[in-house]
Amino acid sequence: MNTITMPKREQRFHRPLWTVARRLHGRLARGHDWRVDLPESAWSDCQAQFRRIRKAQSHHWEGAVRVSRRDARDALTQLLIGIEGSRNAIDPDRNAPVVMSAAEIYRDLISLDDEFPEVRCDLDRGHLSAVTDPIELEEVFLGAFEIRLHFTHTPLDYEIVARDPQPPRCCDHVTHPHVEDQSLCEGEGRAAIRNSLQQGRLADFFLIVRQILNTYNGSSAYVALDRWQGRDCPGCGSELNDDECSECEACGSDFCHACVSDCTVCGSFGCDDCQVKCPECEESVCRHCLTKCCGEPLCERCLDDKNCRYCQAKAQEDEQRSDRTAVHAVCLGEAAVSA
Amino acid sequence: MKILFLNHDGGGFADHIEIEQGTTVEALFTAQLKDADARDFLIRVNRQPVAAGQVLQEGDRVSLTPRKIEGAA
Repeated sequence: MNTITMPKREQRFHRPLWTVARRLHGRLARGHDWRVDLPESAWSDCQAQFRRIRKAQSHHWEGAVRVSRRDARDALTQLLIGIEGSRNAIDPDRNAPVVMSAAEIYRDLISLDDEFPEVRCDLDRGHLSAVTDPIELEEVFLGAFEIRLHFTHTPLDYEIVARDPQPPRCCDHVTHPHVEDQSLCEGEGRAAIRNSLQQGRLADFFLIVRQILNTYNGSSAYVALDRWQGRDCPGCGSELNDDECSECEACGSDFCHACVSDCTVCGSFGCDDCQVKCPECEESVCRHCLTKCCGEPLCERCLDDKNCRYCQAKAQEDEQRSDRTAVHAVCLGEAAVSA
Repeated sequence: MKILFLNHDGGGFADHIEIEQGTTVEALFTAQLKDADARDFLIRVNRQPVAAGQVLQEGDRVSLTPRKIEGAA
């Protein structure tokens, strides 16, 4: 295998790296065009998320509405980033270099050794790799990551390889909150990464990716770090899987499906502690859907105009009694005649 | 004089910009990112970390990379 390690900055000219830089420059210069794309896919994502919200609202799926709104917010963020990127790319007042020269790319390659503990170039496979220091986010150890750039691919692409994978208990294809199947979801860094790769600014590319790996965005992660070590259902103690758990809408905790039930009145999910049984029909309901009449609170289904069965009967009886009294009043003055 | 300025906060575009002779790294940062805190950025001049008071030279390559860049899912 023809693998080379990076020379120190003070070392003399390094011909294999110069060859890589020259080829890379040639490929980027040939592949470059002035086309600027509108963020159409980001817009499609937004439309899809809004359709999901409307569907969930029409079915009164409160939990799904909340999740869809969160996803729609993230999709709108991506759209804003895309719009900003397109606006800058089309701006005629910007005079950025289109593609870095081979000499600039070479200097970028040499400089990587100052930023990363390990840098390698595999000429046979067309890999240029920089390895990060071990990463720990929110006291969760994730280990070191190899940022592997495929410099023979057009357009340039890359993958994130965990050196000592520390996946969460629930899914082994996630090695970092923002890495799934060796692919980084770039989020805020998307436009900057795309531009640095298009222009051959490799030092910038590796630095941006490293900083994303060193940042945790808890509001948009494949697996949240507080779930990394696995969790147990607070109801029955069984292990919780992210795909098979439900959030209690009253207390906000996650439970396995067996430990939550939906309110027969409003449909909200609740755990055994937060849901109660209606004393009348014994159906599971949330506390918001219980109304107190004369005795114990009952669900809406067991109340008629906010009255329980007992009060309804009593009201009916009172009504009948008052009717009889009215009849007697009409007949007042007539004496009963015995046969 | 002209320098190459790369701001990776957002789109990450490279711009050639004009600056006054004697401009320091700190002054450039303040001029370009008025409300930002320099401690939140990795600042490199010609790919090397530098002191805030370093005076920039014609043709320098200055890059600002946020320390925190949020990924997604």
